[in-house]
Amino acid sequence: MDKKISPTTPLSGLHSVIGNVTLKEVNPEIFCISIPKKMDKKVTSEFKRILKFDVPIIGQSSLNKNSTIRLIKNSLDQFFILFERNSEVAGVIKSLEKDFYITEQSDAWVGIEIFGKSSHNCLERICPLDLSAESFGVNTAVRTLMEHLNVLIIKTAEDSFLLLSASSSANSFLSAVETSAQNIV
Amino acid sequence: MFRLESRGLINREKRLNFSFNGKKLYGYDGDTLASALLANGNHLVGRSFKYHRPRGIFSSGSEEPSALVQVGLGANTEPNIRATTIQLFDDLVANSQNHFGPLEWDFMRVNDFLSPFLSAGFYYKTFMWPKSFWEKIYEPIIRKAAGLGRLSGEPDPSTYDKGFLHCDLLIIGAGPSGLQSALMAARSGAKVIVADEDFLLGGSLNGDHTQINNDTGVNWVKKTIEELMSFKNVRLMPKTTIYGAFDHGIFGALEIKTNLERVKSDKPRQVLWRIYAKQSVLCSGSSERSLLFGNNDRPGIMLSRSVRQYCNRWGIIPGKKISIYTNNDDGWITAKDLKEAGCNVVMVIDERSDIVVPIKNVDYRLGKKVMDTKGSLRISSLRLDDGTTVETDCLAVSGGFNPNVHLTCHERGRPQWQEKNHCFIPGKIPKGMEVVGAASGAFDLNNIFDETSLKMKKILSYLGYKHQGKIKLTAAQKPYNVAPFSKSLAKGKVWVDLQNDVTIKDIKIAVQEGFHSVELLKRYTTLGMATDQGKTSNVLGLSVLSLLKNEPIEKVGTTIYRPPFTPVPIGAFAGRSRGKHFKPVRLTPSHQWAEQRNAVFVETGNWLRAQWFPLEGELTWRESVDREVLQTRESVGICDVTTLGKIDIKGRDAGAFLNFVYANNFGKLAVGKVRYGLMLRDDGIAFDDGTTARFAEDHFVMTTTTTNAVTVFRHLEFCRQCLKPTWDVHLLSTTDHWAQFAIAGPNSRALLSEIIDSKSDISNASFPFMACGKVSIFNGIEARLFRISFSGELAYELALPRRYASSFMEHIFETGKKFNLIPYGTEALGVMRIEKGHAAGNELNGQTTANNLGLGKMVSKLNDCIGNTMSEREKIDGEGILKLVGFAPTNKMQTLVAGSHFIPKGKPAKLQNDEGWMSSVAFSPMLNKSIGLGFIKAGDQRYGEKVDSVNPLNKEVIEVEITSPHFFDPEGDRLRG
Repeated sequence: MDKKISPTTPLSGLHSVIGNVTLKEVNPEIFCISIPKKMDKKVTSEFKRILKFDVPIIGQSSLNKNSTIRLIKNSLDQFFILFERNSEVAGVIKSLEKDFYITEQSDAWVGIEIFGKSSHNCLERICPLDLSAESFGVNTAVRTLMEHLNVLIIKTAEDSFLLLSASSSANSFLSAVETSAQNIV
Repeated sequence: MFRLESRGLINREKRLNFSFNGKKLYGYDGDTLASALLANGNHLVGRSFKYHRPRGIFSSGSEEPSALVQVGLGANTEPNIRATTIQLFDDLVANSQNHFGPLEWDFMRVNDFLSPFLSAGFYYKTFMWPKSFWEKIYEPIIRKAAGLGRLSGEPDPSTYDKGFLHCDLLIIGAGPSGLQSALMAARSGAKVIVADEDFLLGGSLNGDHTQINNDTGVNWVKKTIEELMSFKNVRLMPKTTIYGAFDHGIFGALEIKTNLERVKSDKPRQVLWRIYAKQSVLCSGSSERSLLFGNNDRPGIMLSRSVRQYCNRWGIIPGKKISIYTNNDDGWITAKDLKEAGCNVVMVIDERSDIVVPIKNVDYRLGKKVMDTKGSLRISSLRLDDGTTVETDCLAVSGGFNPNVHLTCHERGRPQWQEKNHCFIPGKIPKGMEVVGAASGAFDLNNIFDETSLKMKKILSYLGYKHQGKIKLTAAQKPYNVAPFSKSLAKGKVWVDLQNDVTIKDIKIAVQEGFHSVELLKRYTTLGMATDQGKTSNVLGLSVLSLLKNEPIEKVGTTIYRPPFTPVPIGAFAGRSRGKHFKPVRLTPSHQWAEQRNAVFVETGNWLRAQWFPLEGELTWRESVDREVLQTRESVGICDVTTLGKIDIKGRDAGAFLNFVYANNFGKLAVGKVRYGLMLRDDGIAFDDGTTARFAEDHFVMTTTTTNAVTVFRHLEFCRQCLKPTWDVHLLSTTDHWAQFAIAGPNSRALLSEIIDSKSDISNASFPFMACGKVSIFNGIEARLFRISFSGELAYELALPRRYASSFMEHIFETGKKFNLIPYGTEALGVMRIEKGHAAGNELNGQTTANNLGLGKMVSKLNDCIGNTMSEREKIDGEGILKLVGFAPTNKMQTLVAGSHFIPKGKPAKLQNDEGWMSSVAFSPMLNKSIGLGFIKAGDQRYGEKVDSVNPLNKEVIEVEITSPHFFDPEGDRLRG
């Protein structure tokens, strides 16, 4: 077998600017970490030992020192770990696999980074959550619905968000976000 | 001609051209269409709903019942727009509505002469005979005559959007109390939204000569708005109507975005907001009501405060000879302002006799009533009860004020009668809402400021904010005293509801006929319905009812208001959910590849799936599908089956969990093996089916049908979290992560061997039917391989990370050339599964059991699985129950139809003879005939018997033979080969 197949991304590397809103496709590696029953108490110490940073509370995320790995707590027994493609984190995943159930999710999601002065105004057209600084601080990570689509929204900076939605409906999701950006008067 | 030299809040340097009924006119920036029409001397703007009476501009706000116009042309046209609320823009085109022939000479005005026959409820009593006339004559005529404006009948080219806003405090209305509330909240740091339906914030202050803190009201508004705009925590939303108050502090708001560039703009012209507010303050002010006298609907008869507003805010001279008819102090303020503006006030008539006349140099009558008016297309004179006739072309009428309590009623709050001011004030108020200002029944500005200050301090404290600084507002005293309702002595027509042409006579008839409850009165007479929702008529109607019943108005009661406060276009509710935005579309990983090969797609839920792949020269879909089936069974075909639900199930108790949710046993499934699973509902009915593979002791991969992917996952989560919360089970949907392809046909193994890396052995011995495992393909890409078959062929399903799917398709077809590899779609997939006798969605339709499906033995009696006990119910488990079998026409030339019912030979096609139905049919290219699957009583014991397949829709009866459902390769040699 000498043939190799090559990867593509759901939005073919989208990068567009609409007014004061910039949209950029980002596709981090995503792994789901499920916590086995009776392992709950070991989570904090094990995560700290392996990942070397604090475990967030539900609805929040935390970053490692170099901001290359983000850990999101989705529910009592489930975390998502996100990292840049090509990062050297295979070892981390292998270490986690010893105690936790790890399932790769990278290709299940499409990531759109939205940033710029009007990113809040754009998102208020589709996102039912209060994204103001007081209610939705940086590193908040919450699942919600936008235009009937399941979305994990993570605030990465004051005017910057990472939106993760199902890869199969990537085009519909992009269309929803783009329309919102275009509709701002 | 009708515009004052200098008065008003309009920009006279910006002239705007518009047309009305084709006549070119102009106004100024800051005008409404109504003010611009008045400035051009157009008092006649439409015809009334029923009697086609001439109608003019009655008010200056959203309460307008009469001045409804059609705005825009062609597809952009919009009917029933209140001329009083639309901001004038350049090139606005408006037309009057509801007339046949010219507005001035409406042929339908004959209705006015026929009015004795058209009173309330006439349509309940007429048009009943002859019966045949209703649909052919009466209804078409009534439909043509009824209604107001007309829709274009074309798709609306405008766009609409929706959005979500959040705040600590929503302030509804930006009049004096609204702005005061906003200022206090803004300074405290609370997150505030101020919404007002007007394009100019300030409310009544923009049209009144009020003094606040020794400054003009207009200046105070200007300064306050400037300060509010400097706060980051304040969002000012002019042109935004809060149309509904809903549970949990949620409000509906309609924001008008682009009046100015309506036709040219590609931005949404309206945005429907859902506002989440921790607290709200209703500062919606009040609406003036009219007085009852003969022919009180003529153009030129207007509400008094509106006349004042037109003069003060828009610099309009509303008439050359203006008279004022009032029962309260506010009418005199109008007289004063008009006189100051240089208008000719010919007379003030006040129903009260015991007052001190507050202005000089005006002719007045105290203790008098207007009895009647005259005029053709505009009022020309009025007659008092003492017989005096007054020449007048504008009559400003003030019957007192109704607090705008509408939003307080949206959670079933019923307004209460306030005797002092003869109006309804808010009763039970929605949780989290406060009402201040005129909306609460306070009409003196100083009282309003004091009350607002007190209430706002409480609200801010509740929200956790501290009131900052001192806001002390004082206004010049304006007393408000209003006379109670009195009986109209006028003869002839006295209008109560201008929009619905409801007169006192109509209310009398309703009462005479027993409809004297307010709710029945409303429905019988249509009082208070339509676009204005009775803002100017409801209380007036209640006063008439009260006098007729000789009961106090509080005993008569009131109807309550429902959302919306003002009309909301359907387009705004739809928002952007039109065309491609109507619903999300899910694409399979090979979609682009399939599109390039001219695939015909079919919607399955939100998915688009390739249905078949037509080749050049194939003229019908059957040709393509037959070819795909034959070629797959002859060599090899590939089909994208990514849409099947895929759920990773992990945990120490995963096996036990599967035993619980599936009817058959999974706990003993060996690692590296796959098993077909049937899931039952609680009631024993088949819910879903699929295969589940075991990749490790604590790791299973379940597939579900495409249709039930979400419901099965939700069901499993319920079982996990609620029924077995102590079990160590973890679920994750991996449907989108894995691209999955069925590779079927005698050459499927040979093809796979070409792409699978050498270390994986997929020979029949090492990888037999129902095996599964991890493999690597195309030089190291990790994949999952399942030896399962839906087609009945030697077949595999290969799952690989979605990102490689496009490239995979290119490469496998390159590799597969030597095997004549073809893609096949869902139609060929369906044909092959029917040939093989596999049940699918048509068979698992929510009314069939495992026994019906011939899978009864799979329901393990050793396990306590969901649906097990209920599946033993006598009615669904006894002798002679429906069984899934095959059907073939005895005449091979005939085509079976799904949905047909089975009737024993020689018996009539009646319900009592119905023995079952055909669930799936296909033309089998392998057998060269039409075949079907279906359910018939005791079918498994009736092979060879002939019955009629009856299709009453086509009146078609086809004789069919009952057969085994396994038409093709019943022994399964091919799939095990």
